[in-house]
Amino acid sequence: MALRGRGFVSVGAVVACCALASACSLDQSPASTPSPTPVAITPAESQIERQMRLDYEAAEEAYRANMAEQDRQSQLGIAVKTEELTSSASDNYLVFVLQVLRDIRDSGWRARGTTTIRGVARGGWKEGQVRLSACEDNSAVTFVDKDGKDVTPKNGVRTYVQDLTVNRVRGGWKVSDVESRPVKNQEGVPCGA
Amino acid sequence: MRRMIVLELALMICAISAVMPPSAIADSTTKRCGKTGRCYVIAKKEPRPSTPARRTGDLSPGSRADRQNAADESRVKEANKKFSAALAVYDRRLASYNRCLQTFDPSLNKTGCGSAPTPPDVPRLSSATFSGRGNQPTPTAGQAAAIAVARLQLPSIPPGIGPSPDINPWNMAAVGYPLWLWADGTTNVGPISDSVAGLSVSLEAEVSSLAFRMGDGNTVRCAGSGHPWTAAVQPGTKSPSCGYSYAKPSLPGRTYTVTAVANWAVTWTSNGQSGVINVPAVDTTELPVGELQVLVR
Repeated sequence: MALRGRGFVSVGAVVACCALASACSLDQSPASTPSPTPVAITPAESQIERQMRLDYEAAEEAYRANMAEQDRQSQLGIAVKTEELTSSASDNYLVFVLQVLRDIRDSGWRARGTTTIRGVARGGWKEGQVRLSACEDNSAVTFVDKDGKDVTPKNGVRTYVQDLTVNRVRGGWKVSDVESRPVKNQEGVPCGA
Repeated sequence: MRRMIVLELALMICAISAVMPPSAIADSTTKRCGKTGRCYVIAKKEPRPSTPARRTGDLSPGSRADRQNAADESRVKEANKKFSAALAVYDRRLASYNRCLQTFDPSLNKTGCGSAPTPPDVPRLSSATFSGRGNQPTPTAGQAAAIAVARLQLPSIPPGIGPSPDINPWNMAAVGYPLWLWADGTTNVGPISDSVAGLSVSLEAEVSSLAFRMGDGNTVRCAGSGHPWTAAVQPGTKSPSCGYSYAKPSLPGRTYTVTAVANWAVTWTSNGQSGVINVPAVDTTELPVGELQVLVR
């Protein structure tokens, strides 16, 4: 019984949350008038919810595409501003990504393996900008030098929660900045497994 | 009561997560960590403040100042139009220039365009086109980037060829001998900042492709910028990335003109937008190639 009660409260919170989000984030559409129709138990996705969902999906897609390109270039030991990079990243994030790739290239290293994205959690949203928190695990990524010798850094944490800012730019989405939080494990963080 | 507290908490969390705090973007001390485990601090790029909206409501017809403002606006519009048109012409000429370079080979006198291609002049933002009252044409970020890239004067890439013919007694390269080819110059430029009509543009250039027209009709496309030959290379060793062996001599009496055709990929960032502009670069060198005869007794 207690569980059922809590469930109702959660549904109420979600409905209230959506109402709040739409109230704060959108131009006011014509005010809804009281209706005798009973409130649906599973409300259909509102316009603002749909917009948010599409934005989050597109932003995450841009982030994942950028990570895939980072993996590709680090495995080749190159640092080239390809269309794949510039169409999914801009500003500080693009500078940061290129710096990482250049460091790998200039060291004469090549990566083996790829970064595992353990999960992506949705953060704030506003028109044209979303926040994501991504759990990146680089423990399976190793580095070899030109002679094939393993030069993977042994010290330091290579598991991060990456707090990303993703902006809509000319209809597309680009990761524009990141703040990294090195963590020993990703348990208990929003994007964690 | 308990439900109320839970509801209030949910609403607070919701309010925090659904509405973006405007100043929460990472600052200059933000740590950004990559897959190597190394973390970086990158200077923050301040977003360009948006241009204040024109207060057309403030215009009161009949006022001399207002008429002047309106005239200025009209001139700015006209200047913008002219500038956009000039840029469109420039874009077409640049595209034509790029097409010419695809087939340009001075040693074969094949230009593909009837004459040696020359890069077009960059349209200038002349002060005469402005009102002089601070009302300047405002190019788009892409237009500003195109101008800034054209101003960049990227260096050409001299063809590196090794071993150099100067180090053997015959002063020539030999038919059949593996030559190493590489970009004999810088392959990275920037980051560089420029300002076009008040719009800040950040540029960074990198050679993204390199090809050598060998002067005998053959073209070598390199993966990367090639490996420079050094005296430590064992004689007869082929380049790991970019090399060529001539099948026929140029001598006696002539040399092969080796042309390096590089592509600079210039990444620009301006006003929150970014893109890549490709700029070709051409340079040549003369290479005498002869045959070495070996007597076997």
